[in-house]
Amino acid sequence: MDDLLPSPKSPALAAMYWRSEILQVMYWLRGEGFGDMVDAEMIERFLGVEAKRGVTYLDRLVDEGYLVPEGSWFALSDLGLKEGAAEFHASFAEMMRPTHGECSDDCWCHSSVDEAEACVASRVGHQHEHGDDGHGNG
Amino acid sequence: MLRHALGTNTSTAMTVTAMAEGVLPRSYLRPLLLIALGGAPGHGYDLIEELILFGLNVDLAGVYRMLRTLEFDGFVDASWEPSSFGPPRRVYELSATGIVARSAALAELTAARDCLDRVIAASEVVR
Repeated sequence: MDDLLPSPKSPALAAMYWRSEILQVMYWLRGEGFGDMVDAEMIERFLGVEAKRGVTYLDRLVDEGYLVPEGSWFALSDLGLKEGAAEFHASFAEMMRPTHGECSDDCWCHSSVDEAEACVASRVGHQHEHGDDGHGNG
Repeated sequence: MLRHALGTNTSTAMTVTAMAEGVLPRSYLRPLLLIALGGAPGHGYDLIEELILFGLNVDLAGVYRMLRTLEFDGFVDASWEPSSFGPPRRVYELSATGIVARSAALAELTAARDCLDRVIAASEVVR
């Protein structure tokens, strides 16, 4: 089964990656009213991680305090709920940030790398608007 | 709690993830989801209901993954809607790019329908 995104090869990074993905799925399912418990088989269906491996990530999340086990099922703890919400927001926040080149052609940020970095920083700090100066607020 | 409503054994997971047996195969998920998203902004639950009405063989996990893909690819804008009686829910709607993709999906489905009409017409001639 395909993963949503290729997971990291390093065990430490892979654990962080799967923590994020599992908590996000559980947060989404809970919000939609589809239940607030999962097992390894569901995680396999949703995230493409083999159930045998997925259960080790679920157990690890129990150890870390994000999940509460109930037989072969797992529920979000208060900490897991908070983290699931944060992870869901964070996974999309990165793509919402403006990047270099999103302002107009006459923007001074085209003149040097330093100016480009300053431009991006200013537009991240303030909500970017495409103003006549090519910078919005920046 | 769905789990409590459906039971507590492992087969519950299968029930939850393989939600409805429809006529249309899962390869239709993307175009049908784009079309379902073309109405008013909706929750995942509403979209799934619409997909079931369309006759799609709906798989909850597949819908979750496709919604995330469409969101990552910029076809869908989503936000969290707070609820006074439950957890916040994700609200989905098509972005400008998504509206274009929806038109393309509709054109593909129309072409597929025309092909099927020809197949059915041909089979009736053979009979």
